[in-house]
Amino acid sequence: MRPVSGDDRLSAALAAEHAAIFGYGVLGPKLDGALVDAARQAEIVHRNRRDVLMVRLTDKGRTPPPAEVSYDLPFAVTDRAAALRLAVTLEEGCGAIWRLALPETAGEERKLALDALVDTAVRATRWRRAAGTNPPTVAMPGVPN
Amino acid sequence: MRAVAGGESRRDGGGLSVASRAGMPAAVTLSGVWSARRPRRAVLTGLAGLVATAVVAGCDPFGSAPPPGPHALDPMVTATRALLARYDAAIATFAELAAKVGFVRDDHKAHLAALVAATGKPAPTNPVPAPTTSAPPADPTATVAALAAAEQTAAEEATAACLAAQPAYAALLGSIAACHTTHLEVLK
Repeated sequence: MRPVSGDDRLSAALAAEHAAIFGYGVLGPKLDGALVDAARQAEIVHRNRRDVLMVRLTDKGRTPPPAEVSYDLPFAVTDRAAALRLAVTLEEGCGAIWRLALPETAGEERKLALDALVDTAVRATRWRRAAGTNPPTVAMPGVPN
Repeated sequence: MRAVAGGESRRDGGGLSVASRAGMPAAVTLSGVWSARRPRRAVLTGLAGLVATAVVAGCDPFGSAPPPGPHALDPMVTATRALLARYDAAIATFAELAAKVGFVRDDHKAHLAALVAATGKPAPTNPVPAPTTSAPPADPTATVAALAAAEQTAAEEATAACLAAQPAYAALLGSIAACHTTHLEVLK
């Protein structure tokens, strides 16, 4: 079997970013007040990372995985609590995928992966705080529970 | 492989699992995206275990005691012990801080355990050097501010360590860097 390359990891990260963008589009309307802006900001960050990945993978001669038409959500997002839970899920999911890219990358690409892992961890913490989850942090962001 | 619409069951090159629905475009499950690399993670974890075992064994086929030589993660172990000691001292001095920073201290404990395990050496038992800062903060607010400053430094150190690390330690150090940054968020 061909070993997993850094580009494979970046492609997986792009697939995760596509899914996160979709997820924020679903959960945003269930939030209110300042959280709406927080969701919008998060979505922008995921879109920016998606764009960076698409350019980078294309430049390297890879075909970036496209966004899917739709994604099945892990649970129904019918209210604020579910929206916050999905937001945490999205950030944790992206963080886990980006963390896997760290060992397979170096230099600028590892920096890209680390920045993404840090960002997803911080956003997950903010969403947990908004949901009243205690503790709001995890010791090893990106390691599945 | 490009997505095929129309409810066909498929699996693309990224290993995404797909829930097909009759008459509708196939929808990818979010959990499928997250778990896309799980099997490989298991393999990698297994490899990490082998590496750790090799380190413990000192790469010695006769299995003698590990060499007590320096390890790349030693500075992180030392820094984490010092940071942990600061939290212990803060909570010992101001018991009311336990609710606010107790879980942060627990995160650092987990970091220390993971770092020590990765070095393959026994947990250090020598005394932790006292912080080089001047007098301890006089009140809880100043104490939290001082802890936040220490977290900032720790985040920067872990970030630099991750970027420079050999592949075997990049993910561990990345998670620690990310965790420190989340601490800044809760210590605000």
